[in-house]
Amino acid sequence: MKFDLENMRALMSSGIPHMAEVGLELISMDDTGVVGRIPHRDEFIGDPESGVVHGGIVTVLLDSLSGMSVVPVLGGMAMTATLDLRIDYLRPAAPGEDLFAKVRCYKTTRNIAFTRGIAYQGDMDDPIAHATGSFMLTRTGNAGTQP
Amino acid sequence: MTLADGIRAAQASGDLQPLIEAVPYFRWLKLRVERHGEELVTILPFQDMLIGNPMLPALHGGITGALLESAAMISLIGAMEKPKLPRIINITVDYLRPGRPLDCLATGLVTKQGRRVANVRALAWQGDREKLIATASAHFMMI
Repeated sequence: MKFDLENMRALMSSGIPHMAEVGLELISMDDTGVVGRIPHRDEFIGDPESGVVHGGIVTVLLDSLSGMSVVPVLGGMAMTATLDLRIDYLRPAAPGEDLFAKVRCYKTTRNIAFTRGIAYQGDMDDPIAHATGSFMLTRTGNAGTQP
Repeated sequence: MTLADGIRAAQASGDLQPLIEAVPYFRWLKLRVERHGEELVTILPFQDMLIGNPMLPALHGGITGALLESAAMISLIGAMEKPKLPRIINITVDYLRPGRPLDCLATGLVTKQGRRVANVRALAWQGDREKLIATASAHFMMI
């Protein structure tokens, strides 16, 4: 399937159960990065006293967008499997606010894609988390043979 | 009962399940904690909504990461004396195999518990303990 924002939105909302379940929305997606949002829900709270969301939901957002950031870079013609994902938590999330993230695939080799990105709420210059990932590629078309 | 009281009671009794019930995200994932000998094992019961790749099918990688972070924190709480939630500083998850549509188990091994920071290794598996599906290394702030 050729990469297309509407196709990706449809795939996420109907084809990928966990992305649909958490309400992950794709805001934009091209080879300079992918931006998405998970609207706040009280079920995501990890600290009942402060109301701060659990790191797990931040991981779900960053893992999802990291894998998706590879798609437009390779023209949609590769499957990805996560090798590793590192997340640094830079500050506590503000309670009750939606989570946003922007991730970019900054390098691909024949077999591996490398990504980095941030999670934030409102202010991209004051992120709540930073992520770096690497992904094993299984190419499904002739992606990567072009210049 | 405050969260600190809940954690203190869980640490005193060795039963961490009341802590799960106090944390909305853990409750939403229907996590269970069991004591297997010296280990606290955190169990994520399979639900269809945890699937991230319906073609394989496989668990969402973010969920495997969330389980490892949760198990690391739960095992750390079981090993520490202060009745508070450790705050995560960072975590690196290594994905070894796709998570199948089955219950997933995880435990944390506290490799270093300092005064300010703890280092925890976490392991996740399904069925066969020898076939890990993912591992993680995490740091937590203890103050």
